[in-house]
Amino acid sequence: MIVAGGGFLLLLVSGVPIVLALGIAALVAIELTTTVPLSIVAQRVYGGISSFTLMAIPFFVASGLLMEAGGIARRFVNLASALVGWITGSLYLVAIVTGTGLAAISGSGSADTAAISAVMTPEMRKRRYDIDLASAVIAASGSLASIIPPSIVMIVIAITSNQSIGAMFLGGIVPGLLVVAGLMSGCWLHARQDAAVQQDREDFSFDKLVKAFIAALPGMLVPVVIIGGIIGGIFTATEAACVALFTTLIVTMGIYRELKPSDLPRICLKAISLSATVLIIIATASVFTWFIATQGLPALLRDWLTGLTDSPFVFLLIVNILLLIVGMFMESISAVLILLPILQPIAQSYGIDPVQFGVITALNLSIGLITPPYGICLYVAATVAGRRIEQVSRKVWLPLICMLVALMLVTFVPAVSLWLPSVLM
Amino acid sequence: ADYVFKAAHTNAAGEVQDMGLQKMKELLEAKTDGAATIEIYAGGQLGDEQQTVEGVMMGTVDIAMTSNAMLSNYVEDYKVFDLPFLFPSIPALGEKVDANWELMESDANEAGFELLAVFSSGIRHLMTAEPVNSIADLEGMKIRTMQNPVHVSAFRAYNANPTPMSYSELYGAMQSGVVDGAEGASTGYDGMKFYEVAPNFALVGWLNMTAPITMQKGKFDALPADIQTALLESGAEAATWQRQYVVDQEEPLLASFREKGVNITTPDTAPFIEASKPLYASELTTDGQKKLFEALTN
Amino acid sequence: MPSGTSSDVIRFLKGALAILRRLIDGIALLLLAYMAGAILMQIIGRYFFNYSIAWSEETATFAQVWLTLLGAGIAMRYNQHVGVDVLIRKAPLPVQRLCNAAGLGLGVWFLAVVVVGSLSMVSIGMIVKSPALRIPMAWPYMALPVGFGYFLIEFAITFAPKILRPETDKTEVPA
Ligand code: NA
Ligand code: NA
Repeated sequence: MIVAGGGFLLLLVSGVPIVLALGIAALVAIELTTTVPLSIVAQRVYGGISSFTLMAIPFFVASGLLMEAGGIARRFVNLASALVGWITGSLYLVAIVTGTGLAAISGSGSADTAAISAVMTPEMRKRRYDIDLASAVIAASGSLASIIPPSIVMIVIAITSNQSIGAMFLGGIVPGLLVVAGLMSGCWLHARQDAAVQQDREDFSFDKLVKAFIAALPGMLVPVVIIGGIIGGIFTATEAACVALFTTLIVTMGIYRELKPSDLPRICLKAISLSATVLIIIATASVFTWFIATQGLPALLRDWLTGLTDSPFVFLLIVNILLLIVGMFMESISAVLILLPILQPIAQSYGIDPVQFGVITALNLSIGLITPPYGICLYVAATVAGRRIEQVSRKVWLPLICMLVALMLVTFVPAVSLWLPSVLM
Repeated sequence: ADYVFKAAHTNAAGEVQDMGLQKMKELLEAKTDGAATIEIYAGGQLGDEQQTVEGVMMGTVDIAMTSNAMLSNYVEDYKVFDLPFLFPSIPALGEKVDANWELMESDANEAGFELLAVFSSGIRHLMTAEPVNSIADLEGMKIRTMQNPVHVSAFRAYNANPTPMSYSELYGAMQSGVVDGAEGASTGYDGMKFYEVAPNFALVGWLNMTAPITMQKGKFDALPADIQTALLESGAEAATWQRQYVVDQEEPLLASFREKGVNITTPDTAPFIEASKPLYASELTTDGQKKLFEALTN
Repeated sequence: MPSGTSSDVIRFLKGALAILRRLIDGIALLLLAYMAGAILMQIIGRYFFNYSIAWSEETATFAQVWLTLLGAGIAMRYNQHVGVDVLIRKAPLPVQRLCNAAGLGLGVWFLAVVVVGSLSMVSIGMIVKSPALRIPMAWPYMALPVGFGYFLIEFAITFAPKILRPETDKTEVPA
């Protein structure tokens, strides 16, 4: 066990791709401590990815990338500035609202972060915004993609804890909007203290809003198809993802006409390789979890945790701290696959609803997307803005505090995550 | 213990199948004075059903407990057990299995498995959003079935629209109406809280489902004779105990459903049986299958 | 002319690699298209013809296995696999070289174990048939040796140069 864990951590910081670090650590541990034939590795890898439900991931990734290549980010930025551009510190708020819109289309945050940063940082620089703080805020806006449906992390959480993807998606909406509200108020308060940007706003124009709304409307079809289709009982999650992909094709090629058929292979190949990086981690992580399961670790951890406290609140607090630390160093999907099979049954024994627990997990790990040293959204935002990760890291406290406040609400008020699924499903 | 057998299955810990395996573990330990034991990995910890069976073939799992529907992809003669309305009750199933043990064992041996026991996974009924009072009510209903061609054909024969989908999506799919219902045992109906979204339970008993327990034949043959005997004996005794346990569970479960407001109906099964008969001919293609079918139904 | 022959070999290998990559890209695109088409068919079948196609889900899942395993190699080609190299890039050069060499060796070992281990699955898959379509499971299982074999090639090509020149190592932003 220690071999597997220690080896994994060592490989993790040595620059080996996580997918191989997981596999190698598990393989070494299996070699050293068991007599099981090594064909177990191939067998688990196959089992990890041979899942119809997981197919939602390539579809969501492809439709997100197509939307972004098809000009949706620009339209959402225009709509967002018409909506909130009249408020103090407007460009922070525009970034957050744009992130919210993109989050409703895409399943993971790094592409959203890159799109927002590319469109917005030049303007922010011109208007003398603090680019490091702006990048941290943009990273947080991009990380919303994991909480607001569709979300790839939530798909994996739902599958791992045997819950319906639809319920998990609905459970993420209110917490996601809470994070949005938190980020917006945090940035607004901060902008009022900042001499450079406190006067930065534009006049509100209803005309402009209507025009921007109409331009962005076709792009909003995608979330409507996904959520409406699942709630309305028309599709399963995988089918909804597939229909979202076809809707995206119609919107970007038929309505916006910004994508040509000749662009498709390039974008689809990118979608294939990006979703493969997620799915292949699921595959090798299942070798790792197999090893952990055969070593009886889940039972050990369960005994230790349940011996520690009877209170579900204390338990959830411990889980939050654990997940925040893990999220600092690890990529979300592998964190879910390694930890959730252990934590979820314990949570259930404390009487915590699996959907709430899944949303807590997702929110913790989307915070991990902006925490150094390893936070993919922070990394992308810094790179696109041309800043070093250390510089941006110094300003991450502001969005971080806002997200932590939302996390506390989700953790200690079950209705935040459970109310919407209970009303709609 | 000198012999530790890793046993894997995908049912939740504490479900009827798991209880049987725990009984088998107790019996094995008692019979061997602790020299042999079983380590149970429940809930798919070591993989899904397909991986569990193939794990036995490749030696990564020692003992597999899977649904017959999965095992019959490997032991093709066991397709017989996937057929609807084969046995009127669980005790009747047990009697036939015990009486034809040697034939079943040799069918398993041919595919490279040793058969240790045949547990019951309960009798499968219908859970639906709208009540099913007769076979006619099923017409056009989208019913979730397992990904098994015999099961799909059966529901097509009952004029339903069989819709295979993953078990974890089923609750949401019934809630939102992607499917109108599903077939399943009362234990699953209870455990997954399906009664919340499909409040009608029709006692058709279309399938008497089994969970065979297997080992790799090569691995079994390499064991000392006394361990082999202890495994087979504890398997047989645990199976007898487990099948009765399933029967004992059924009545209290149905009573608890009624308390929860579930509408339990008992449609006439004769038309179902009549519609199933053509399957007996069309689905059994090999001599081995026909032989086992004859033995079990005579 | 040993130098001439060896450059010929390198040119040939480069050409072969280019052809292999194009072939894999093409297959991957077809697989994605097939998956989307099969699921769309399933929905249309259920709503417009009240008939569920049992094999659409199964074949789409097989396509996904192939797509993922080929896609993992494609992602390796573009250095898209997530890794944490912030710490290692601050280490002294010899340490970086050593880590990269160890990473390469262990990575090749892991990938090779999967390739070899999957061959026994393929041989089981010759006998076993898939639940819905009744085709040999060897078809989907074959994705393991093929996909991981390709992954291994791309991994070695990407990682081997890092042993000599670690400082040029720059993880691309997956955007
Ligand atoms: Na999202
Ligand atoms: Na992080």
